[in-house]
Amino acid sequence: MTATAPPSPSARTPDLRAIVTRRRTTELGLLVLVAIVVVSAYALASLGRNASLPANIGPFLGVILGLILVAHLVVRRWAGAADPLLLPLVALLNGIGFVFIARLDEQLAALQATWTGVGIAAFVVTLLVVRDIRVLQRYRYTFGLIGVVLLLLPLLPVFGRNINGARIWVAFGPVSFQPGEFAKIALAIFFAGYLVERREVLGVATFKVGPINTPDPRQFGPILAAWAVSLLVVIFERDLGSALLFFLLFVVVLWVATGRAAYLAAGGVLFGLGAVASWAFFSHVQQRVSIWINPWADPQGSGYQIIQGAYALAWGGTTGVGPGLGIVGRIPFDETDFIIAIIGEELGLLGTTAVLVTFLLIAGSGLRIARSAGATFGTLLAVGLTALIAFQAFIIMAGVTRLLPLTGVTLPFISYGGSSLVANYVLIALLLRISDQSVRRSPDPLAAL
Amino acid sequence: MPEQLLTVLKLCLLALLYLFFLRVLRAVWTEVSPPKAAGAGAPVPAAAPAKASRSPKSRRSGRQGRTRASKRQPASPTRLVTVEPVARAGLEVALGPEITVGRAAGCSMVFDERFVSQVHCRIFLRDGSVFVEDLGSTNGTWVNGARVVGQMPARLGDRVQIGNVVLEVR
Repeated sequence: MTATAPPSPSARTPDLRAIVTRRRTTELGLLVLVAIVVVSAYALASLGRNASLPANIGPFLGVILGLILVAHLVVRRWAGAADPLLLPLVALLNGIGFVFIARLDEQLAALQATWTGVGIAAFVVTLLVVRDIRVLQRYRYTFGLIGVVLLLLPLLPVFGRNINGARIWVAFGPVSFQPGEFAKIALAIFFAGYLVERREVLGVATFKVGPINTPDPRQFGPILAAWAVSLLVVIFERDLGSALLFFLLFVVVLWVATGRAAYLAAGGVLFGLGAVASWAFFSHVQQRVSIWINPWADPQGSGYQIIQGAYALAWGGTTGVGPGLGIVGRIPFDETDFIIAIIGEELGLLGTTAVLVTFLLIAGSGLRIARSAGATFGTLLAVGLTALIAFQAFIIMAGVTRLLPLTGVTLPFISYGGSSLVANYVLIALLLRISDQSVRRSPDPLAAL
Repeated sequence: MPEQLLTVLKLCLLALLYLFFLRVLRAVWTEVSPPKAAGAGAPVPAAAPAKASRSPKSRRSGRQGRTRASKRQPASPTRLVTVEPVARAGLEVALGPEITVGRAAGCSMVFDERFVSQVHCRIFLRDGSVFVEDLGSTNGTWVNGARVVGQMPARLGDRVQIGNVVLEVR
């Protein structure tokens, strides 16, 4: 390297070391603050009159905080230059989620603590196994296949389970999980890996259809196939939230890969057509839409859940009635889909805004990671993963607040749910790996922050 | 527990929550704002391009002199010759309407090197002149030590640097 523009590796090592120290110190400081917030929320909830918080749930909170410390140490050792904000933000969501689940149902709290353990284990394993994010690019078609297979699993006769009207569960003996949560990560890897090598071709319009120039349609083949399969599967499993999530993932990654806003417009048109068509053909979609437009048509039946959610939010006001002081068990699925309504009831508008801000900051960190990864596979993957988490949070919060028709997806890291928690920890581990790698590989680490 | 106390505690909890966000924002701010003079990091990014631009330029002036002396007549550029990495030195590609350089398998010139992006830059011939355009690479493309912004012309004997790969226009 004689005519190098980048400074030599020896010159940048001190910079890198300074970055690692600074970022991990920041992370630890923020994690301590998170622990204080979560513990005081828990203490306050147990002081609340209406809460049923036995003392034996307390240790679980300790276990969760301990596990997050383990995650911090693993990041420090194996991904030292990674973004310092993601882990504290995620820990805050997980901790607050645990407090509210514990306040609703102590048995679920114990399970959620176990799932957090599994999730952190998956996080650690992902960081240890995926040492170079480009390895994932090499297996992009494998991941595409895995994604589709995972989506198909619940349709199998023996293992598939129909729970609450959606066929998205798979049961192996006593353990049941939602493979779709993992499929979204596999498909994000596939989309990113495929588009990073085709973006040149997809960005140039060479093919003429009448007066319109479009890219060569053959280039779209595999990705359209993967997208169509996932959408069809999800629609047949009656999981509309995931269908929307996959569609958004697809459009956003395509847009970022090619830099052409026309894909966003095309995606919008396709979405409109798809929405109208599914409304026309599927009765369960029609039901969702009519509940959305007027939940008061059947306040004791189909509209009950969303009306109670609105009551809870209204009752909370600006600062909420206080942790542990809300009404337990009035909203069906308050520990999964409607947990944001419980947070709204007990911590009010300020509490729900805090949750929203946390997701915004996660999305911001994710996009910053994407930006610093240069124009590579890592960028597209970071954008895809960030889009998954941000849109999933948006879809369910918009559903609860009646901005969109309600579709049951979990609120990442807050809702009760093992598959979702584990998959989202894997997702965060991948984001941290991309972040760490792009800082380490940059010829000028300071500029890559 | 008196109700007022619980309310006060609740407000403290919310305050603590927003204090956390303030700390997060401050952490982002210290990262993105340029380091102050006290920081050892400050001179490094500023000095790096200056240092880098000097060395290829001085090398080139000697090199160009030799090329001119041996060839005399200014011919039009026809090919790209690899100078670095040494393992690939001498590898040639004829200049055409479009040459892409990068790590991805689809590029016309593939270099699986550390500082080369997937699709790093394109080099193309237009009206007999060579142009270099960076395609959003991480580490930039440099012609004779000057960073390529937009489409930059390159002349005979110029050196295009892509990460640690150096190509010469001949």
